[in-house]
Amino acid sequence: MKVSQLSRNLFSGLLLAFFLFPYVSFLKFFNWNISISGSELVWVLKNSFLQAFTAAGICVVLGFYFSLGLFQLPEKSRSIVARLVLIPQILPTLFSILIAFSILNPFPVGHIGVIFIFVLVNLGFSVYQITQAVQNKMGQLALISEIYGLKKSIFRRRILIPIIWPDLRLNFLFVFLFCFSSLSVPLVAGGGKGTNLEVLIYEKIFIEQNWDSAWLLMLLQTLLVFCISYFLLKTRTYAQRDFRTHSYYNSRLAAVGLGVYIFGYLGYYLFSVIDAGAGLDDVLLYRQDILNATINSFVVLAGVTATCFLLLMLWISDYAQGLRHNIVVHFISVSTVMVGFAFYIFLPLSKRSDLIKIPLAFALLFFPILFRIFFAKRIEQLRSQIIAAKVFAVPLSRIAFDIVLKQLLKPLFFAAVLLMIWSLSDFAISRSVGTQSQTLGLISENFLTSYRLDAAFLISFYILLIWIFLTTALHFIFKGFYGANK
Amino acid sequence: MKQFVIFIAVIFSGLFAVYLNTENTKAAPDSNTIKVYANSSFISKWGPGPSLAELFESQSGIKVDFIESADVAMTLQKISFEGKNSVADVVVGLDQFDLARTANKVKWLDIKSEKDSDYPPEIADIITTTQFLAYDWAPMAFVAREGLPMSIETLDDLLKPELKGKIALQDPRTSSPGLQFLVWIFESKSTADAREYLKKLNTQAHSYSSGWSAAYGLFKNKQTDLVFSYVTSPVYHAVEEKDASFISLEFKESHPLQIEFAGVPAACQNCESATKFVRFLQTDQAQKIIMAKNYMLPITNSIKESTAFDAVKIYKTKPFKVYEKAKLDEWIQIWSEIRKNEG
Repeated sequence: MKVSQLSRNLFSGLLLAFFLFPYVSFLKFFNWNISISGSELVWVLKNSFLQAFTAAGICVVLGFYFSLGLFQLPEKSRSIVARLVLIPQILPTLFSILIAFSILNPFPVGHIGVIFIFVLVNLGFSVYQITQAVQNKMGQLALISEIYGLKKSIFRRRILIPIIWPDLRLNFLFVFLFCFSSLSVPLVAGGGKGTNLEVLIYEKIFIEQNWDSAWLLMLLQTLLVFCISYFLLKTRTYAQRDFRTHSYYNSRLAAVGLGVYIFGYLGYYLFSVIDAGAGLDDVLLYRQDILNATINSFVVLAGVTATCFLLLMLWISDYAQGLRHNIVVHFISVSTVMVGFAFYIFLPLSKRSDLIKIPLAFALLFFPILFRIFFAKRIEQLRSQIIAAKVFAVPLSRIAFDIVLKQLLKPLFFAAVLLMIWSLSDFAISRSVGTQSQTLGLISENFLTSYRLDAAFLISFYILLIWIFLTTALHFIFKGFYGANK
Repeated sequence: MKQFVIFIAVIFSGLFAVYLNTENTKAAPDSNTIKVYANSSFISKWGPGPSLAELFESQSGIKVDFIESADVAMTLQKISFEGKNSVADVVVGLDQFDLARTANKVKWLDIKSEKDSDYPPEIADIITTTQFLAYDWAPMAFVAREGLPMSIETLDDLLKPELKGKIALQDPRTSSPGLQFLVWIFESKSTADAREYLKKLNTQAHSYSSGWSAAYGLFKNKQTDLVFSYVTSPVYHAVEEKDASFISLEFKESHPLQIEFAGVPAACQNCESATKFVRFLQTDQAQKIIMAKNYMLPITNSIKESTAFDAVKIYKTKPFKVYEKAKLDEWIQIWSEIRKNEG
């Protein structure tokens, strides 16, 4: 076997081993003690699909339309609003539930209620991602279309939508995944139709203590996602172009809709934060713990960033050798509790091992999603450059760093922005891996579980402020890199 | 790209330095240290854990290392998988349902309480449990704000039209209080009546949350008029928020009990010290800390004298019981079937 073939197998094997770890590791304890009712499984799958599919569809349609509202804004405001729209997705779910119940009173419990909250939470993410896609792909096509006399509506229907269609499908998949794996929202808002696959997994663990069944359900969940990803997301690639905004992308009505969405959500949130301000003195009693948690969160964030970066480099190297993505690109784990449990049982419970398992668990759950959103297609676009480099026998490390990574700075920035806020605000993954270090997300959740709703609101606001600070700092760092590389 | 390589190298070097300087709680067994699995609200600064550890160390010279438990179900499974390699000396935060679930999974040491003669009559039956010691308890009840326009004194009163969509409940499949409420219904009514009742209750319930905190959040945010919680919940608001407008509602049916236990797994490393710690949780000094921080009742009535908890009326309660898993499964199955056809 040639050395290059050996190293390709090594990279592929490492990636496969890492992403299959939660599934394979559990086999050590598997006893075939299965108790899953077929009719119940069909019923929960029906609920899960109906809710996730509809919510994802609405998010993509509205997300596309609202992104036109975003282009209506001046460039500086646009970049700020594009960050603000992400807030609903990153606050603790309970806050979004409270906001949803305040917006719709009486609340339509059932599928409609669940879909409404899913849309409320994920719409901003869709707007963000679709706006990115338009900026990356459309170049000056709107201007050219106008010169050729195409009307705005024809441009949107015949040019804009077909070009960003793969991104719309990708966005659909991610919103679908977020909804498909939700536990709290279907239970609170779903009424009798609230039971989904994630609830069934939790029931097997919490009530029946039947981990074998829970593991099988997780496997089923992941296989379903794998099939959706594998069969529905084979896309063409487009070269990235310098984007020029144009009136063909603008829509005043969409801007109003976007404004209603953002200010409706954030208005209620800020009102709650101000209302919770009366309890600031109580929160300040724990300032030392909050400071420690802030430091821990930064350490976790550094670890997650570095781990994801290493995975990215491994992935790029693997792609550069085989000129196709590793099969694990479709392998997106969605069950937080089961992935967390794999790390919980196999790694010791100590502050020291937190530094290993939290980044690994975060990377396992976040990286595939970020990779699909920001890097997969961009890397495919560089295929011809990689082939040319290989013809000239350029070493793999230079291909990875000097050719591919150099052209990924922009998506790298946006991926880092998402990674930062997911890591800072997370409590579900940290809790399920059995972390022993307090992080900001965990402190916020601890306040919630001890009557202190106001304190939880204040901590969530503190997390947002940190995120804004870090994003700004990162912006200037990348600006420096950009300047150097242009 | 040198900058990137340097950047990543700096991060990993920093993380490695932090790693080396971080306390390793998985050190080799130390006869003077016990490892206690506990939930986050027990260990947090506002929970009783830190003060208890300090007091226990000052009294016995034994150090307590708390290991934050992801979830009781996960913790018990971890201990079960690890067998003799488990590092757990003590597990705290077990409730009656956990005692039933753990029966076939983990072996526990027998512990004799030194306080069993002091137990309040409501929980006196826990002396039948030989492997776990209780450290706090509270009857469960509906909590409301003062000035409810109707009287609610029975489970049937929850079906009054004024309460339609106004009750925050927890899902019995994912929440211990949710399961408590379901058991309360089935133990207060015949199975046929309980079925009918659950059907009607579905229109009254605002929602069934995945956990206590979400349900309480809805209530606190005035989305609902009632929430299923603890009789001690109003004490929190009175003491911490100086708000005396929260009340618990006394029902004619005997109220369910939530009791929290601690136990020592048979695979313990420092079994003697672990047993000492579990007994310590029942001492007067420890009980005062637990009561004040956990907002639950002490297992000795004298502890609460002259405190805010003294004013908490103890309603007629159901006797302590460890439920069979099969029975719980059956009730949940009925609830799920009824729920499936609603909403």
